[in-house]
This record gives sequence, structure tokens and C-alpha cells, in this order.
Amino acid sequence: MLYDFGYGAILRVPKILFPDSAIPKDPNEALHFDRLSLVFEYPEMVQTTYPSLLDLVMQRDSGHYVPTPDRFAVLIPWLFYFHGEFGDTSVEYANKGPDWRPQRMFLDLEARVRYQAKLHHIPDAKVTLIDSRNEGLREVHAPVTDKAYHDRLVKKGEENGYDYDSIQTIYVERAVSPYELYMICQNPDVSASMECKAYVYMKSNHFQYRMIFPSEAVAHTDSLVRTINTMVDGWLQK
Amino acid sequence: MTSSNISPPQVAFTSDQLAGLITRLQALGLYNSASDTVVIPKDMAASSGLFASIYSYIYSIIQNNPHVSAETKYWFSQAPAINRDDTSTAVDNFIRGTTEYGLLYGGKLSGQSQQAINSGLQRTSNLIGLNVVNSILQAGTKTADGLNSGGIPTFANMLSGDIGAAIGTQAPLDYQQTLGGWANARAN
Repeated sequence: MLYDFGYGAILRVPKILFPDSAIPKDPNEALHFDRLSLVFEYPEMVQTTYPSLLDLVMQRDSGHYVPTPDRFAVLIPWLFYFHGEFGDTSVEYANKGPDWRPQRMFLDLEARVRYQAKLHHIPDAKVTLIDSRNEGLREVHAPVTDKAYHDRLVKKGEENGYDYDSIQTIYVERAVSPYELYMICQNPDVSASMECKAYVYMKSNHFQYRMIFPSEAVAHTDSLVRTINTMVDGWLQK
Repeated sequence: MTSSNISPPQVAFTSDQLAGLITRLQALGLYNSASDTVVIPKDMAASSGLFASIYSYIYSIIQNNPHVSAETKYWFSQAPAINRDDTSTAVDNFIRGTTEYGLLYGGKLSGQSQQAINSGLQRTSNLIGLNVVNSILQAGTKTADGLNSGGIPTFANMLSGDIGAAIGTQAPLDYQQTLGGWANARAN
């Protein structure tokens, strides 16, 4: 069935993904919405369900949580077409257009670091990128700008038996990549949360989305994004 | 799969309001300055009322703003009592009771102690708080410094985004909440 995101971006998505009541009788009639959401299982890419936090929390607390690093549910709360004009991130446009974050998140972080560094009188503070052992990804390392605050959290972590600095890892895509990505993965040994959450922009078809999956599956990120990209390319109506 | 339309934030924060939010998060040890995000270290995961003062601060900002929807105001007005499990309030008793009843009704809490159930509900409530406040830090408009101003997402976007992820979809897991059991996540 046809799904019209506006700006000439139309996908032909499998109608099995929608309830019968939502499917137009005329196959040439498109649904008109500017985003959709979906849940599937990687790597099979079949429809599945996404567990609630309460499920995960109580499984974890009771010792029944079984990590599934190679087969896992992926939630995409929203996917939409990124029209070129949304690249204008002025205040005026930010208030008009759909969410423009995927392309901007990393820039936001750099701006935040510069701002914090200025507040704390730290010259030349900047974000550094290090190739990750996870294929297709680089780790983002932001400098500590508020040392006293940071030291307090590190000390508290030591007292409670964890390394605060490993609470989460920030990733972006490699320098040459068919997508842009900004992802934060929580370390379940340190954090109350246990998920990776990413903003992704696919360069070939200009769709972007929010993606959530279990932290233990981070090694599959590059393959996962490329698979989604291929799926959306296959749905795209030329 | 579901579909909907995106709408911009209901209201952006001023720089003073954003600074006030970050200061409060720092005081609680919840702000990670290297990523400009909220984090919850594991030793704080089940802390009662972890986000109560943050919700109250946000409500103080939006309560008289005509551009913020009534349901959003209501959500933030009730969220503090729920997050700190204030059993003197009807809304907390309703939300937590309904959630627990939903799980019990489905036979999904067998063998769990009341303490474990309470801890699970509190941890879930705190993780929802993490998602809510992170979505606020990431919303808003661009300032002259290139920063996000922070802001209140639309209520529909709150539920369909990361907060919706907290609710999950209908997974066949032991503790999957029933339709009735979605109450806690929906409200807090």
C-alpha cells in the first residue's frame, strides 16, 4: 500500500503491517502522514513486539533477563522524510518543520561542549572521535568541563562499585558512510537503562528515524542500519 | 506499524529556564555534562521520587503558558506524586494500583514479592522520567550559541516517541503489561 510522506516521498509498504481498517480500498490511494513507526526483529526483519520497560526491569531484577546480542527487537518510534529545506535550522524553521535532529545532534554536542568550556574557562575544549571496535562506528569523547561535578559523580560511583565514566557510550558513523548516526548506548552494568537510542539519517533516500534496541546488540548497528536503508530503498516509489 | 503526524515543540524554554533545569538535574547527580543527557546510575535506579522535583519545576514553567496543552499540564502536575509514590494522592494509588492489578489479572506477577513489584514499578517510573526529561533537553529551538533551548514536546510526540518505547508494544513476555496495565507508563 502507498504511504505518502509529502514532498513527493512515497513508500509502498507491505499492507500486512497495517490493520485492515487502515488500508484504503483503492490500491492507488495513499495514506497521508508525515511519519510512521514500526517494530521488527533483527536479523530476520519480521514484525515483532517490543518489550516494555517494566518487563525488562523485572526480568533484570529477578535475574531472568537473557541478553540477545544477535537476535533482538528494534523499535523505530518515528521515521519521516527529511526534505532539504529542513536543513535550515533557524529558529523560524525549527518551529515549523518536522524534527530535524538527526543531522544536528552531533553539532549540538559540539556547541554544548564549547558553551560549557566557555562557562568553565577551559580553552580549546573539543570533542574527539575514536574508531570503535564496532564496525562502522566511531566513539565520541567529550571533555570534562565541570570537573568538580564530574569528580563528585566518579567518587560516588567508586563508593558504590561502578565506573561512572562507563555509564554510556556515544557513537557516530565513520567518516565515509551511507548514513549519519548519533547514538547513545547505556551500559547496563552501570546505568539503570539498558538500551541504545539512535538518530539516523539515510543519505540515499533522505529518510531519518529514531531507533531503539538493546545495548548488548550494539555490534550489529552498522549492519542493522544498512539493512533498514535497503528496506526503505526497496519501498521507495521512484 | 502506526502512523501519525509530527508537530513541533509546544513551547521552547528560555536560557534561564534551561539552566534551571540543568542545575536541578546536577544537584540530583542525574545530568551527564559530556553528553548533555540525563543518566541514572544503577545505585539510584529504584530511588523513590527521583524526578519529582524536576517534574514540579517543569510544571512551574508551563502551568500558566497558554501554548502548552491541558493534557501536558495535567501530566506534569500529577507526575511528581506518582514518581515519589505518594500514596496519599488518589492519582498515585490509581496509577500504580491499576498497573499492578493489570499484571496480577494476567497472572504475571506470581512468585514476586510486593517489595520486588514496588521496586520494579519505581524503576520503570524513573526510566520514564529519564525519557521525558531527555526529550525536553533535546527539544526546542536553536539559540544563538547553537544550542538547543530545550522545550516541551507535544503530548502526542511524548507518547509516540521514547516514552512510548517505555510502554513497549504487546510483547508476549511474562511481565508484559495488559491494556489496563499501561496506566503507569501513560501517566508517568
